[in-house]
Amino acid sequence: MLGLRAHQYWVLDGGLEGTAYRVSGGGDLDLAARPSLAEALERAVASGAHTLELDFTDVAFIDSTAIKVLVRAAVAVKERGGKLEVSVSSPNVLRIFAIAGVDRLFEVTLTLPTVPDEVEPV
Amino acid sequence: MGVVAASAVPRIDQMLRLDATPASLRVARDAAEQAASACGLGDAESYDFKLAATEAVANAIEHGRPCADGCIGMRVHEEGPGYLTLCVSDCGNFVPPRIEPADLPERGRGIAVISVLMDEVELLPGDNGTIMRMRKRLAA
Repeated sequence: MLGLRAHQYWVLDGGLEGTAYRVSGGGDLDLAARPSLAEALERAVASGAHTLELDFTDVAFIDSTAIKVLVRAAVAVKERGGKLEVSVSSPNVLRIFAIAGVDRLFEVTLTLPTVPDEVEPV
Repeated sequence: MGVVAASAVPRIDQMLRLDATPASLRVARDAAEQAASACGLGDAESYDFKLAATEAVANAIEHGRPCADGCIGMRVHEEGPGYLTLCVSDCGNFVPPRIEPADLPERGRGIAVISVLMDEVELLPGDNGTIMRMRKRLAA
């Protein structure tokens, strides 16, 4: 992805499909990533989607400045009866959400990477 | 060559001058994580330590004021007995008189997160600015 090396993060706007709007992210989501993340989530909220699906399974790190952007989006969709869902694959990232105390506003699911059926011997 | 007790010499004492821009957060994080590992903290605790460093530096960038060199200061050092200490300083005034009500929720969240991650957190007024001093206990 363009800019990955320079920025250490990426945010991909997956757009609206049905009633769900998907945004993916990866790398380190901090103050440097906040503008991209905020833009994508503002578009997601403005789309009128019922569910904002955030695929953060490639996120290695997130801080409270990025979580605040999620909180703002979650509040906006909840006001119209919708919801925001986040999936992560790092137990450390999951723990940050718990520490930030946002578990009442939206659901964060831990999705561990799937192991292929046939693993080549190393 | 003399033999010095391990506790007498800090394994880590590093000072950084960080540009007051978001790009510095990764530098702060890397330094904090390396220091934590060097002092024997485990994966989860090292992760907490680097998160605390990120929160504190982000807080200084967003709500503090950089010094004349445009930088935020960060020092990470082992402090006897048994603490890894992280200090983040800016050249703004001491926080309480300066803090705007609109800042409180966000600034508060960052500090609340830090207080869960670290064993001690203090916000100290200095002659030339504000220092956030955080300590993480090391295994005996």
